[in-house]
Amino acid sequence: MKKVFSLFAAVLFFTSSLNANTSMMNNQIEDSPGDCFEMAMGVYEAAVFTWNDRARALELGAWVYEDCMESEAGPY
Amino acid sequence: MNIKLTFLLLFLTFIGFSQNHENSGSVVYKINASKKKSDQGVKDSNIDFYNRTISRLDELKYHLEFNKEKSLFKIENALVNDTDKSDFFLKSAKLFGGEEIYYTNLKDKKVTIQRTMLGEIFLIEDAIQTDWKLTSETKLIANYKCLKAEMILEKNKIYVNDIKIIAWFTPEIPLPFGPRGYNGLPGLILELNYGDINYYATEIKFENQVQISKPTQGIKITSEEFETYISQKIDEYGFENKSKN
Repeated sequence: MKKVFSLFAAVLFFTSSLNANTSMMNNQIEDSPGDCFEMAMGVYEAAVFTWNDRARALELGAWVYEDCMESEAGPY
Repeated sequence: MNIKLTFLLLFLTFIGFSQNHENSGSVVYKINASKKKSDQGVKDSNIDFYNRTISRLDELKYHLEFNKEKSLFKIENALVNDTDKSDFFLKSAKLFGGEEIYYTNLKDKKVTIQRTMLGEIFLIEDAIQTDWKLTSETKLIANYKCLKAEMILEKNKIYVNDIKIIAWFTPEIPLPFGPRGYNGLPGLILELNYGDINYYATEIKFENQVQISKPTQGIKITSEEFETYISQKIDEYGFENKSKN
C-alpha cells in the first residue's frame, strides 16, 4: 500500500503546500494526517476545477486520503 | 400457388426477424477528451492533473445493451474493487468517464443509477431526461446519418457549473437509448459529448432477445438525497474548508 502515491499526487501536495501559509507548512512537517489531508484536498480541488463535479472529486480525494492514512499507519 | 405462399411466408418471417433483430443489441463506446493548455489564472497542477487523467481514457470501454424496453450502460468490469491502488491516473480516468451502471426502463420512464461512493453502493432513481433541443445539424457516424440534439445539465449541489450535453442520434435505429443514462431521443445515440468527454460508438451489434436486468444491490436514494449526502461528506472530509488543520 505504501506505493500508492504517484509522483503527481506528491507534486500536487507540494504545490498546495507552497501556496499555504508558513504555520500550516510547519504543522504539516510534524503532522502526517495533515500531509494526507493537504494532498487529498489538492486532488479534490484539481478534480472539481477540471470536472465540475463535486461527487467524483470527493470520491477521488477520499480515495487518496484513506490510502495515504493507511500507508502512514503501515509497517514501513 | 404453394410456392408463392411459401415465399410470402418466408418474406414475412424475414421482415419480422429483421425488425425484432434491430430492437435489441449492444453498442461499444470508447471515450476521449481534448487536452487543455496552460491558462493564466489556472494552476498548472490542475491542468497537469486533467491532461494526465485524459491520457488514460483510451484504456476504458463502455457497453450499452438494449432491447425494445430497457437499456443498461456500464464500464467494462463495473463495480470491481480497485485493489491495486498504485495507479492514480487510471482511477482518476475511471471516475471522470464514470463507473456507474445506468439502467433505463421505458415503461416506468425511469433511469436507475447504481454507483459506488466512499465504499457504499447506492441506487439512485430519476426520471428519463426529455429536455432535448433538436437542431438541424447532421453527420455520419459508422455509416448512420445522425442528428444533433442538445441539453444543459444545470448547476446543482454536485455540478459546480452548467454542463452542456450534445447527443448525435440516428433515427435509422429508432430506439431512445444512449450512454450515461441519456435517453429519450427518437434514435440511438452514437456519440455523446458530456462536457469535455466524448463517448463515441465503435461497434454496433444487433442480437436476438437481449435480456436486461435491473440492478438491485444498493441503498435506494433520490437524486436530491444523493446531492445532500455528497455535500455532507465533503463537509466531513473538510475538502472545501481551507481552515481545517
